[in-house]
Amino acid sequence: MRRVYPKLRLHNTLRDPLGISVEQAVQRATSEMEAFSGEAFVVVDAAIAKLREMCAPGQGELDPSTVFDQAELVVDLAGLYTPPLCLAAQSLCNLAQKAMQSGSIDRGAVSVHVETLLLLRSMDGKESPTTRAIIDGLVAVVAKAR
Amino acid sequence: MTGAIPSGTRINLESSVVLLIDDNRMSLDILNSAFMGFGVRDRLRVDSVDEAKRTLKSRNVDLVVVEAGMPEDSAFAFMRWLRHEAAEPVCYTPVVMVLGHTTHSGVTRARDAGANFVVAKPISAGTLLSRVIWIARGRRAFLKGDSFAGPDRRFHNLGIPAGIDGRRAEDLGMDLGGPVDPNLSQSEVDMMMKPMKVEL
Repeated sequence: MRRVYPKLRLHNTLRDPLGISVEQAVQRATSEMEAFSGEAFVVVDAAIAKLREMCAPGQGELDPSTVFDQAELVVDLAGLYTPPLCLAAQSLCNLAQKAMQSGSIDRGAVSVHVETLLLLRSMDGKESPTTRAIIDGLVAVVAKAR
Repeated sequence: MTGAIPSGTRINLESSVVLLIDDNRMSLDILNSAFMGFGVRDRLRVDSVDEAKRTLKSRNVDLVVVEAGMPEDSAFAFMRWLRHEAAEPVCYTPVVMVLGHTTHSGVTRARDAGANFVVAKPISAGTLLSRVIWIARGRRAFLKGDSFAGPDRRFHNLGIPAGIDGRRAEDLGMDLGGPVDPNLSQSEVDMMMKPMKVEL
């Protein structure tokens, strides 16, 4: 095993007096990222709609990996703007991942998650005791799922 | 928000070149906007690892940010190529891997693939910038071998477990025992390293 100490150009970025403060950089980046919220929610809403459609009666077997992909999309995009929505989608990811191992997914548990995503989407997006209680409920649903 | 980065730290990323790899256009846009906010002018955006490889062969890149969940495990294949096959100094390029659904095994896998840091989605600007600063500040050794190539995974210097002989020349094989005094505070350590006058 060879041990090397490479010289990185990034090392010089901290020594430059012309730089901006970290706080300023974070503030600028956050505003730039927020500019995408409208576009991001179009994708998020489409993902939730697709999940709801998959859960509808008569739609046949649910595919855990498709559920995972749609839930992960919500985590990726909604999480930046509405943390509770992200936590609910993460819980659905956990459920889908568990189902990928067991081979079958509990449709009822997925439906509960999807309805919760819709509910949280209609709320103001901020964390509160109510949203925490809702997420705790989802965690319990995943824990019970086989 | 910015982790352990002291307030007032200044950074200039204007001349840095950052390569962003994500197959999801929206995620790529968001990642790109974060680096735009950090002041990076040269942001190279690609949606496949093949394009990323081509870019790295033709451009000097200071940092790679790659989405771990791309189809067919391509992000990990890219990491193997970068760390094991790419020419020097490209193989040493720092990499931040972005994980969607963060599991313990996912983080371990990214670390073992040679990522410098892992950032969990949803990405916050503060977390992302703190990882860039950690890389800029750090002097982590880079290990290059057949089984592993990447930044030293033991960068906390916790050492090898007691009773086990290390494989590296600098590994100490003895049991040092437990602490006999309380841990020093950071300011006490600083005073030992660089004594300063104090006002009494």
